Amino acid sequence: MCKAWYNNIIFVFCVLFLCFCRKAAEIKNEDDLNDWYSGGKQTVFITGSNAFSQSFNGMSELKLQQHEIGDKGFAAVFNSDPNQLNYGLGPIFNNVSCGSCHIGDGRGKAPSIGEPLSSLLLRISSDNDINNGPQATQGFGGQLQQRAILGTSAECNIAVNYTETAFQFTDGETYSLRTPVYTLNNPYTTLPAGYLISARMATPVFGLGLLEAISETDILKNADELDENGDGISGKANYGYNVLENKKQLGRFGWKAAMPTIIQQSAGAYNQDMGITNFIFPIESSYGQLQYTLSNGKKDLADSTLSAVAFYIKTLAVPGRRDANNDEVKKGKNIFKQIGCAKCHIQTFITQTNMTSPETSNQRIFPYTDMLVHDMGNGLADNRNDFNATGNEWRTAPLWGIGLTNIVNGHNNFLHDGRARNFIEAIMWHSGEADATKNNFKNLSKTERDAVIKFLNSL
Amino acid sequence: MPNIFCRLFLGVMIFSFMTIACKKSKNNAIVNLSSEENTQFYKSVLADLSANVIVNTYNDLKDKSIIFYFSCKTFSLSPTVTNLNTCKQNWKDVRGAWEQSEGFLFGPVSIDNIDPRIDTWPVNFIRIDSVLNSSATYDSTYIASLEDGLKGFHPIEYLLFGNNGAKNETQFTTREKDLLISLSLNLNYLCSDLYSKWDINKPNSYHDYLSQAGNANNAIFPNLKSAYDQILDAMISICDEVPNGKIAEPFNTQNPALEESPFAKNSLVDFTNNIKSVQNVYLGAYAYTDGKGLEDIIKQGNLSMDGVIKQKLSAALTSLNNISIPFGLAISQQQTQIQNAITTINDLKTYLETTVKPYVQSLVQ
Repeated sequence: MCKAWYNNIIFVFCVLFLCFCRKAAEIKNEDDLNDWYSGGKQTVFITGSNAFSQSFNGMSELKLQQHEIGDKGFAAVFNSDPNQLNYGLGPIFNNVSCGSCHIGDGRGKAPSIGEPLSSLLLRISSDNDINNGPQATQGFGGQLQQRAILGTSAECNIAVNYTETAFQFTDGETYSLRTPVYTLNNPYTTLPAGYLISARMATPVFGLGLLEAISETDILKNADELDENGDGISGKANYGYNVLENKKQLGRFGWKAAMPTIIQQSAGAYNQDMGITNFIFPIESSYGQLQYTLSNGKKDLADSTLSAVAFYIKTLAVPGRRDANNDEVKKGKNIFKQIGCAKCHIQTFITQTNMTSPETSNQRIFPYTDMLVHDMGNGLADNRNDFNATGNEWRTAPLWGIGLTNIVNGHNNFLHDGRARNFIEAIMWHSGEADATKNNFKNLSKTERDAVIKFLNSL
Repeated sequence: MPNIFCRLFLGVMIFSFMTIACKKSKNNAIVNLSSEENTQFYKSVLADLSANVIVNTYNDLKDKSIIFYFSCKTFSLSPTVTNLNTCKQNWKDVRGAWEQSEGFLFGPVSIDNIDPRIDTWPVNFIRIDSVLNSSATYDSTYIASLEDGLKGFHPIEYLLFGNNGAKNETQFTTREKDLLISLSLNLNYLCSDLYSKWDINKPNSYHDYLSQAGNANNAIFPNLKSAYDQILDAMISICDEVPNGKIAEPFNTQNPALEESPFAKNSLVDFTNNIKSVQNVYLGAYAYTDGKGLEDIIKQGNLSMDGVIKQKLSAALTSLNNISIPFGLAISQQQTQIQNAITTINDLKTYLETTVKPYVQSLVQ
């Protein structure tokens, strides 16, 4: 009797052990569990309009203070000279502060027909320079500035129009894609012959510190420029120019991954978008043009402000997922993978170990990008080289946080010029290397398409 | 054999128990979710908050801005001391409504970049002088094209009150009066635009999204939590900006040029209205309208928390009221009071952030 009970007790423990093993096996499934934490330790679960504006977790008091200084710098509205604070705007510019384009640290909105450009800008070039970067044009530089300070001429007015084309999914449901057409009106001087333009929408700025922390090796692992594995996808690394270090370097940021570092991206935006000179780009965007005067020539931005703003951007946390355990969301995620989206929108990386930046070091993150450029087809092409990226190639956009775009920015305009008005249009604009995947999506049932959209909304 | 069956039965029972137990832990979360009645109650609070506080504030802002515009026109035609004083008072009235909207700086005011076009400071008054000295016609296109530091409340304040705050009716040139009219019209246009985007009577207004949070196909607030997060984050944001930006920046640098409304000496009123804006959202009240607010949710489950919030709101307002001289002077002459206001408002912010928000989230998850 005693032995029987002893055996039974042993048996009970065995069953309990099996039960707990079953639970342990569930926990080990990182794909299901950690996926909630899009930014690893630097994930925040905030769903309001501040969702993209949260600082990293666990920063020291000193770093938090620097982040806050950078936050103020990011929001600061610039004025033209002379002014006591935030001076140096222009003489030609696109907007007056970082935050005016990256509203809520998020995504810019495409202008409607007849509406002036605000968070969208046009790059302009004639050819390529010695580093294969876009060659600035005579009289207009590398970017069109459609605004100017008082008493100065803007470079031109930019008008946008859209043409609509109707399409059908295989199941008969219709959708429409709009193609933007830009017209340059009233240029202050003659535009050069054969100029090329490329529209660029303000991108979300959260999570960039984590993207900067992905090792080059891990990014290059996914590159397959010659499509040697024959899967139709040929991701390519772009190499931009590091101005401070005077060398070519793997590009990570911007629509064509031409920008190697956050600080250079920030400095470039100050200079080109606002006419704010700084230690990385000390020459006015208007230099050599009629708008330039000697008084414009001094450095506008304190080095410490630029550093703080770059630090602010670098330490913006990533919003966590919502509804990741919802059955439809999980179904959508499976379809997303099955039809091929995840070949470029790579789900996860582990950031490199960095003793000086423990906040970004060794984190499993879920950015849904490979940081590489891909041929996206003729429909999206700007037909203009940007270092290694050809006119057809664009960087795989990170998808983390994308489901919060509407609440933060009040729209769902996607792609490099914001032409897509929702997820469906953004997907259906994919072409080139993404043709097969796009067609797979086109062939899905409405229920399946809805599941994919629900998944994207959960990111 | 019976022993084997017995064990098998025992094993199945334990396994089932564990499975049920595991599911129960998941179900517990569901049980913790709001009941249908609570959900409806939380929705009704949002609807009241949106209509009674947010929309009414913007409506008041719009109405006051048009009154201000007409008073500028009247002053231009008849530049008497009375008409100038009316203009100045009307500017303060519009300003009061605007500052009482800063506790909910989300939605169109942010998305459509209305805030920087209405409320950028410091004023680039040297450039304003250039605008005055130019031959430009102050039509709506010209005003809209001006950089943000040259339009909105503060350039108007500079024109109306003068650099030392003591401008009188004889000191206005025709160009100044013309610019004043055009800038006040632009202000009215922006305020009207803001109101129309929240207008209860317009389909798909922002009011619809907020008041119908959690409804199917609500693209902005797909659930109640996202809406309440938004409201609380906005309250926390202004409780951060007032002490750590608006007050601390001029105070820490001892630079009165960084003051928000220096020409009208209205900064302390601005700060006070910001905190009142937070109070309005909490109480669900604005001017003569009163309905459900966050207060009703907190009081339902935690009376002591309600008491603490009200005490901290009151302390914040009192700390500002204790500064008895214009803010530009107080940063050097009443440093104790200034520091006390910074500490007290930060205390309110911290309480909202670390206690109130998690509590509300636990209810409306």
